Amino acid sequence: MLARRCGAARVRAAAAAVAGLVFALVLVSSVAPARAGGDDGSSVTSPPGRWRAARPRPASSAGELTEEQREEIERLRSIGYLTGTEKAPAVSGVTVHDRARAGGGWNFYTSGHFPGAVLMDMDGKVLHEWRRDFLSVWPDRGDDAEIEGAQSWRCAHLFENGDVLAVYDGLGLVKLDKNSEVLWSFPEAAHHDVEVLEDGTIYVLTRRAHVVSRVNPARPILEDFIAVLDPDGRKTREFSVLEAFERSRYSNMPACMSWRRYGDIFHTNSIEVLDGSLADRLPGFAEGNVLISMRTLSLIAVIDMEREEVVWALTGLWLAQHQPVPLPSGRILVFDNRGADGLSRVIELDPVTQEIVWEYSEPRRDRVFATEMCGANQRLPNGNTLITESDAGRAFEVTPGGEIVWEYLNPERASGRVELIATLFEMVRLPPDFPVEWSHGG
Amino acid sequence: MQTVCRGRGAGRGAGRSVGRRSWRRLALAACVVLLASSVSAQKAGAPPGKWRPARRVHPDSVVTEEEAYDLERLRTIGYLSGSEPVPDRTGITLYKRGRTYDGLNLYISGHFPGAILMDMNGNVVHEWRFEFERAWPDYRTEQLSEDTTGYWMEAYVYPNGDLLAIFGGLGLIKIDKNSNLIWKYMGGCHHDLEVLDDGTIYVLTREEKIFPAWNPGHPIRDDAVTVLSPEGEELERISLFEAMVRSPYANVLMGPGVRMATKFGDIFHTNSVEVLDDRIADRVPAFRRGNVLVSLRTLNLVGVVDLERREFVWALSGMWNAQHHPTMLGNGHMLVFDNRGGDNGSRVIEFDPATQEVVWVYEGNEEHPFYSEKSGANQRLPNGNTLITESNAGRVFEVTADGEIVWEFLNPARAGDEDQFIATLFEMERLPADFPLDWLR
Repeated sequence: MLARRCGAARVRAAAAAVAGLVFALVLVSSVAPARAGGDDGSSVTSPPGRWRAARPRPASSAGELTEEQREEIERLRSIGYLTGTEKAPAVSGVTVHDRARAGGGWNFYTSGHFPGAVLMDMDGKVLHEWRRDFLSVWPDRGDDAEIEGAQSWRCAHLFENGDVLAVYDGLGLVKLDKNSEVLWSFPEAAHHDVEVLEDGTIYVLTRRAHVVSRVNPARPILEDFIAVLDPDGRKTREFSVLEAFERSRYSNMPACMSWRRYGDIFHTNSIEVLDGSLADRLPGFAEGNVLISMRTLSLIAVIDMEREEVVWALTGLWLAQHQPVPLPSGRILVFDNRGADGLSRVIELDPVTQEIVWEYSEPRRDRVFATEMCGANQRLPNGNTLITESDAGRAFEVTPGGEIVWEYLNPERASGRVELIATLFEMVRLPPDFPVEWSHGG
Repeated sequence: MQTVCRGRGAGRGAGRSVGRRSWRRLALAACVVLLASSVSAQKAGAPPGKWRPARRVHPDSVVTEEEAYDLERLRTIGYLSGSEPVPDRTGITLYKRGRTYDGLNLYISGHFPGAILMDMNGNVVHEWRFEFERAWPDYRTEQLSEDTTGYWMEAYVYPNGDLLAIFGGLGLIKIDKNSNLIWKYMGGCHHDLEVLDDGTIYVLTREEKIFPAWNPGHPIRDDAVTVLSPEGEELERISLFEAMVRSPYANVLMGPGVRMATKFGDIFHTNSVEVLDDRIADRVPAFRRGNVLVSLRTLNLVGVVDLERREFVWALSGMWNAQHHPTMLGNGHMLVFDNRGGDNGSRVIEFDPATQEVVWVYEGNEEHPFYSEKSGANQRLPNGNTLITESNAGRVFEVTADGEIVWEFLNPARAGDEDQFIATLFEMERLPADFPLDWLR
């Protein structure tokens, strides 16, 4: 008990020592670009990939630390961070694990520090890693390799045999086996999200930067598409999200809502195939239709894949959101990046009544749950919700009552003007019976 | 359910053209707002009141030999100023007896501060009239950016012939059947009002306000739902801006239209209010009795406000542009006048607010152009027909569920050297067949 208090006191002292500077930086970074590297979140001093200023550990939760975590803290403190002027955040790895209440299974995630993915157990032990450098997939795309999207996987999908699909954001999609050998590659500008149907068909977001004169004759837009690939990576179909709006009764939406008529007019950032479980209450949510999220418009919409037309749309309850996911309960989970007074929250919404039936957010005075970019959420079989707070490099599992029963902080750090933590794009919890015997650690 | 999709072919070409139009409209709308030019230019030469250039050739008229000659002449000489023919038919231009829902028609028109009660044949059976200056003789109208004192923007008739009328942006009057003033309320009333069974009045009002967190530089127009007693005493005023800010929908204020509108002040341009009953509250609890349905034109948003909690509890946008007059139907659907959302101009859509399914659409076509840039109203009649007010065109028509026009009225109020202006017809309401008329005798 004494040791525990001492540990807590040390952490508090450490937190206090850096609170002024780092907390201010975190605040700034949640509102405005606090980094010198432009709008991609990287600092001039960060290594390739995707990084953010690491958040200091709030002193209030330091009392929960395990023995291992405190050792980790000590180790991190003692090694320092190269430039040596900024203290590192106190902890990393699995920082909270309430074994009784957290769901079991395996955690699969992609991180901004490398072009790969990690499979990890609930204790933070890495079972398997995939890694494939962009240039080794497409050796003749040297210029593209300089783009941030080449340096990490924005999204990945794990098959039961250990194969993975991985998205190099805005650059391509690749299928690898468990040993990270390339099975096939799709060199078009896949981005953000990929879905695999039961029959192996792949839905992936793609985009094209070009001039669409009816939108803007002078300045190019980034036009988003939904592409359908067969299981071997051959494109069988592709249609424009813009056109899906234009041919629908929501044709006013782009004109009414866009901030601008150039550049990334939609920023479509997720796609989910609907299973039809909501269709009795909402016919637009018929089986096979897809639910997408458009960040620029703060809009989520359902597209009928046969008619290639928007059949349902909703906006107003969130800002710059990510990953709307339909739940078996007939509701939708949405990661609302900036709707909680500028901070983030995850909401569970009834799409028929627009009622928010559940919400997770963190009051500003306690902690700051906020990610300006990215973000993901997953409802677990035990009723808990796994939330990825991407910019903060944090994923955590909360109970319906909002209690954190498992937490993971990305151990990937980099020294710089301030210490940086690698963006955790998305963590997916796989069920305990998901086969992992093919993994190195399985 | 009938679905009418005029001019909305399933082909992609049609879709593309919509998009093209939409984008152009955005640019156009911006120009209109910035320059405020089109209306004022069109209005040059029009008398006081609310007028629009009359539509040139009435689409539904049978072309006479003379008209055909005129048309041909026009084709050859082009549309020089002063050379256009004026539609010679006004008043009732179409009446398919037996297919209409017959009743008296109450309407207000931009040409005078009054209202007209008219039968299905176009005979005026009663008129009310009350000038603004008689109610508020000391009001300095030169302060107004637009003089709205010359006409009524909304009227409501009581079963005894009493009538409520709104001078847009100014005040509300209650007069009796002989147009004697009963009471007046100067509260920045505008656009719409609703009277409950107990006589309580819900009226849209507005006032210029500064919300330091939002618009420190200059005031915005804060729309409100104001509740008045039957005697015209103000009971409550619920700011819609505040209701939005404190609601989960506050994010819509981050939209592009709002920031621009803030500069010009008219941040919401709320243009209708309807008090809800419980008819779909079991499916969508936000639509509970006593909440109000409002239309915010600037945001292209239809919303529901809980007046007790003073916050928005439901909102929808995307299917319409600069819409008017969302109204709940007996079947639980909503009817909306979509001013700029149709392929061919305006349209009226009926949809299920729970599922967003559109079950009925009326749009114009080449033969029957239908477009009102501003204003507009719709009313579902007991026989299933829909009465549509195409305000800027000074036209009202009744369509069947199949989209057939069975009754039509063109505002006879014209102005200009060549009668080239037609008075805006803000709204026509078909009174129920059993509406008491003993006060008329």
